[in-house]
Amino acid sequence: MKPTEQQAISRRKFLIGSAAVAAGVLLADKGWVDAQPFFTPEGVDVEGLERAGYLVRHTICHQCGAGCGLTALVKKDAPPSEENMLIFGNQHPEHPQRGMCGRGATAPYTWNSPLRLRKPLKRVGERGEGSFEEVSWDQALDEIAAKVREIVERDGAKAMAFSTHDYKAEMQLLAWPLGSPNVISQASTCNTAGVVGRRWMMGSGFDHHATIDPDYDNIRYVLFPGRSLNAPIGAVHRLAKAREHGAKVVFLNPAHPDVAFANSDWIPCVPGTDAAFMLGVAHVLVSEEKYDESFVLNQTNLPFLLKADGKPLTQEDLVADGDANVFALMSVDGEIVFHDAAGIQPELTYAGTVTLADGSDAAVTTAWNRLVTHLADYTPGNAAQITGVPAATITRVARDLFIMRGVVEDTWYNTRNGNDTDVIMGLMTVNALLGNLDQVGGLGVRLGSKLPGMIGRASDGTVSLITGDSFLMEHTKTIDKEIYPETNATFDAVFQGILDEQPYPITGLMLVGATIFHRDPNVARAIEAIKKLDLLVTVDIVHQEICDWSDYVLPAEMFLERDHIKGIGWTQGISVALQRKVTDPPAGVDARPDAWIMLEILRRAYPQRAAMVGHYDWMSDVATWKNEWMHPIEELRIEGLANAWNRDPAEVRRELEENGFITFQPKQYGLTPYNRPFASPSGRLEVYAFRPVLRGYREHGFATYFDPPAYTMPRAEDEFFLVNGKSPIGGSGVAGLAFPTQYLVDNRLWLNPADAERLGIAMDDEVEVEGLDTGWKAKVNVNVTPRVIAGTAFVYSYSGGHRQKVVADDPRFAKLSKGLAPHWFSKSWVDPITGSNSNNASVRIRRA
Amino acid sequence: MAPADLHFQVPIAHWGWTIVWFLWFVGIAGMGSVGYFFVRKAALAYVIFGSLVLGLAFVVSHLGRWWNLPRTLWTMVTNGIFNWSSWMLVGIVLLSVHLILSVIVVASHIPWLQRIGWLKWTATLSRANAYLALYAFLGFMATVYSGFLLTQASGIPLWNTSLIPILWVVSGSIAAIAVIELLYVFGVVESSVSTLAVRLGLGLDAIKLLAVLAFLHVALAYGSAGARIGATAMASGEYALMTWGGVIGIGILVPIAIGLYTVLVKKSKPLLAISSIAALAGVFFLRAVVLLAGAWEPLVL
Amino acid sequence: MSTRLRKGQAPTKRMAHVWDASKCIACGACVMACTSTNNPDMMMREEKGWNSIASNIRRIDSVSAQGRPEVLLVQCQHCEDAPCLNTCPFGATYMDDNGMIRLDPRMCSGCSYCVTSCPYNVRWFHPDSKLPKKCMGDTCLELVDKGLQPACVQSCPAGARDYGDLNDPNSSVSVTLRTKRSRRLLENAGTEPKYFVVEGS
Ligand code: SF4
Ligand code: SF4
Ligand code: SF4
Repeated sequence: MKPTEQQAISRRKFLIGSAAVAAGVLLADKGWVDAQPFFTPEGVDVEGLERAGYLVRHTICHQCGAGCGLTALVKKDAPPSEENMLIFGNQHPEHPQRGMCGRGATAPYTWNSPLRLRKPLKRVGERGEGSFEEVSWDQALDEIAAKVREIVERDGAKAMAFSTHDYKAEMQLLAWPLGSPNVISQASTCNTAGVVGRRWMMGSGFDHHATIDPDYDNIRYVLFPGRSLNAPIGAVHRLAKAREHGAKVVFLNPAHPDVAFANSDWIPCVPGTDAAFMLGVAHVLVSEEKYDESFVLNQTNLPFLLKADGKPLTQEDLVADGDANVFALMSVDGEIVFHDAAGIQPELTYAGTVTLADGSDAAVTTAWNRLVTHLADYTPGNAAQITGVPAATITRVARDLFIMRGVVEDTWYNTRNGNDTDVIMGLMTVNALLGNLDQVGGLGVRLGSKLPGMIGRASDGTVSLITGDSFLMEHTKTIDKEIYPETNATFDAVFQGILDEQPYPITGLMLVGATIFHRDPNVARAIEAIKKLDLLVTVDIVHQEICDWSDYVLPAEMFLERDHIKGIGWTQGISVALQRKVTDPPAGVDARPDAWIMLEILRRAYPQRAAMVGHYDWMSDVATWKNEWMHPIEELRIEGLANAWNRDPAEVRRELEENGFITFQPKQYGLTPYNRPFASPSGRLEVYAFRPVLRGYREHGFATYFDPPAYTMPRAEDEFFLVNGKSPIGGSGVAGLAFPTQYLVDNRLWLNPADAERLGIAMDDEVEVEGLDTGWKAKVNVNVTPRVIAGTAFVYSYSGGHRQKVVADDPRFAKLSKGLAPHWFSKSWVDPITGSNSNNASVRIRRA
Repeated sequence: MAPADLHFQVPIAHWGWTIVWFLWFVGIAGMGSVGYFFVRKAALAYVIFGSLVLGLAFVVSHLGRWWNLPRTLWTMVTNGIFNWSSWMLVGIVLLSVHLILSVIVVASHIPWLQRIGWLKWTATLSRANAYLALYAFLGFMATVYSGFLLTQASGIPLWNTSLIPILWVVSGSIAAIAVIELLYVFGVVESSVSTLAVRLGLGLDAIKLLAVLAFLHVALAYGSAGARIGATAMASGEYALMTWGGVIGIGILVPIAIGLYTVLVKKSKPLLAISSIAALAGVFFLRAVVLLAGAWEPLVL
Repeated sequence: MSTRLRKGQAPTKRMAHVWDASKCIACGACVMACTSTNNPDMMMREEKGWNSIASNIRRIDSVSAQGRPEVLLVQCQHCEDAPCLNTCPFGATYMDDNGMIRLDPRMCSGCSYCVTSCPYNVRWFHPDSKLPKKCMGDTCLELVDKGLQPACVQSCPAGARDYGDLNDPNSSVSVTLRTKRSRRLLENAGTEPKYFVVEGS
């Protein structure tokens, strides 16, 4: 395709309007005044800048997992330093996820932080002591490889477990050739409940938290249950625009989220009761007939017939040799019809008897009828009793949602109380009644980007790289899936493997960017497990608390130092972004790419297995490896992407480099599930989830409220729920350790004024917090604030309770050791089916 | 509950103990010059001069950028920029002139200087009532200035009252009287002067007591939130001990008690010494509490 | 450097900061951007007096009379009748032709009178230079002189900040202030502040 004149202009002047000016902001202070003339309100003259010695580098922020668009300006041929680079949000007006928030703003602080890992470290003291010696990369990798080999040979490859927040593919490069399936992320302490809930109602492929999202640009009313919207900040940006047009934003949360400062409503609720709230809303919608009947009839499984045992009536029940995966409905003409037939006109309220294939009669009723009965328990009055939200508020929210054609956001971080899957089911029930799916201002379903991965595995165990290399894996079931059939990743299973050696022993653990101490509940138990390990290796950017417990700590490249192509999530259209290297690591930081680290360990342990993934001894030089291994793979991925969209790969790359992103397809409304069915058994939005019923996990398929099983319920007057949440400043493992976080994020324990008064606690008083289930005790100062509901205590996650030695030893960072980590108190209750863990806890609070 | 935006000035503006010393010395020197009009003793002249020098030393040492002072003054003069709306500039000029006058007065008392022929004029000048009236007036104005210095600092509502210059003048006078009493104790000043001074001091103590209480009352009852924060810190908070014990107890009640004893029963040099030192300390404490308790108006409560 | 106004002279422009409280999500990006732009030497050092990072923006968390959690961002208000300007004994603080209150470091001896004179508590002492720092920072001033926007405005992901000329009826700030409800801080302090807090439409 020949670039049009328009494109030519936009290429030359890539930043438009205020965007250009944004880039100019930091110029003068860096002595870059000569670069400034290239920034004008009309745009930025990239070519001119290049001639003047400056590079424009778009990248993807990785100060948290959301991946917003950033742009950097770098001095050509200058040594890497904060002075020689400038980072700001990608200002392209079409960017679907433009940065940057208070975490992104800490990127330059992290890059050369005193807490940055600089050299490979080998533990010399006891685990947890934080005493290390610096060793060479060769020594570290050789010793780790020898140890891995020892474990694999003694305990089997499965005994090696791996965990990461964002570098799964990189870890699979080591784990899979070794023969260990056990690459297990943090999902169960983050999103599992939501993923399972969505999968149960919409099927695989529609279950990820970045796939279903409100159409923020056009939103009219959005309710965020338990979500603080601290990320991605691009969503906040778009929401800000919608607000200009009168959009209403409502948060349902025990604690007041920061984003709610922006003219939003905050509905405080008792922790763990969101499902009751949602069902209360559903009750109002149904009883006041405020629902989208056409959607309910045609896009949900509410008209489907259920048998007395709660299972759906299927073709197999009705016809000899019928298909058990085909479900029955009653048509308005009084005929049984099957869900896969065209032009069905179902009856919503049918109840009666049908004759089964074996000649017996069976009582059947529609899921709708059962829903109406189910919701009878959730009058606004009843829901108010449970949630602590006034009945009138519940009714008002329901009416507003209906009148303003609103949506309920489907949450991200939601593994909190042990009853969270039902929250997602409850809120999707409300969304089903509103029928506002994939519509303008509704809940949009994002389609896949068709960006091929670096490594993948087929169901038969064949692992293939995009390069064509492939091999067969014998054992592909991860240890967590042996215990929790529905989970997407439950790291707790690894602790069980270490401590109880069930279902089999785990003796080695490798972590990449996984802040165990600020991620996994029940820190005391995690410590016990870690102490038992034969090998613990941590790869990270900054010195996290887990490093102090590791045998080896390896410094990894941070996002500013790497190239990578990624899909953009939480958007409506289909977009892909390029993470482009902005700078080398600062002087003294000998950081290496995560993938290279994994491959080198593999090669040093088992050279032949490294060869299976195309890595050889002559690639031990990082620069060579980047050229010969990494670069071709990224090129192949771009090629695959370009081919999938019928574009020229060179052009795709160029456009990615020029703008930082490509939107291959803008949002097409009205597609899912109307013309593109869900992957649920019925292909519809299953308000009555068939999957858990058919698999025998649940008696019925509706969302239900039950008391949180994850902790002892607080009862005495000095007992509280302990909940946590993220701030858009320090709310991530990396940003939590940034210098400004100490000052801009409150690391005190929030208590409601009513509770504080009752317990005689004043602002800033020190209290002792004791976990009712874990017995962990810690002291913390209190912020008496109405930002938390009475009966509940709140802390920001990541911003306090850092106990690593380097933090305690550096007076500049000492504040980070104050405050608490919520996971000291939560006991790690895991749902036996979904594998969803829980981060909330109950605690006793006393004046210290 | 404490307001969300609560900031005392010392950690931020650093008007701390050095400024307290400065204000104290200026009070002694300023009102001391008024006293000198009546009690023209060499020792008093030396005390005034010493206080001035020390006060100025404190204030200059407090300047964060004292080393930049020459350039500052040079730039001001060469650009003709004189911000006469600033009490501090007025004060700088007042104190400078007062210092010069003080040097002359001191010179007039130093015998060996007087032997130098061309310095004789200092003695002549220092005997002129008009000159000493000017000297007294400038001293008085310097004391007033040191009050308005705070009054004009509009960030600190506790200070934004004309009671401060009044308090400063009254307490400065008390300090000057205390110095004269001490000179009596050391035998420099005659007993009759001292007796008069004690009576005058009694009256001033009573006025000062009223003025301090009025200062607190006005701030607590009619002041803005920031003024109340400061006054509360003085009356019942962090500085309550210094206020009630230091300013009122030591600084006012002890001198009143000794003064009454002196007037009604008998005069005792040791007691007068105690009373003078207590009065001087009280004047110091007064400046300290008012300064340290200064807080900003909270922008939100 | 832009022109220094003498007593009685009126500025040509009346540049003003607008902060939209109804949009701000308290993300701190502006607070940090201000530091890294204007005082990069302070990126790893605290502002001890405020117990904060060394930014020209102060964040205050509070609760409204109605019990609503609120956040307030405060910075120099560029008062039209600026107490700090009136009290500076050396004339170091002055107003420029854009209506910005600025500091001439050549004339500052660090007496701190401007700090105690400012009713908004927005000045802090740089621990090395001992200059009273405040908005606008040196870099932002350069940017503004070149017709660009200051760092805080550019860094805000929520579009909560703006900076422009009140004398120009068509400037975005004028339009915002015409169409939205806004207030000024300590209105009755007589300082005529030029920092506007938008409260909603
Ligand atoms: S806000 Fe303070 S520093 Fe700024 S002009 Fe007004 S008085 Fe001066
Ligand atoms: S204008 Fe510049 S100096 Fe002022 S607050 Fe904004 S970023 Fe800071
Ligand atoms: S950057 Fe914008 S949203 Fe963030 S704190 Fe500043 S004004 Fe508020």
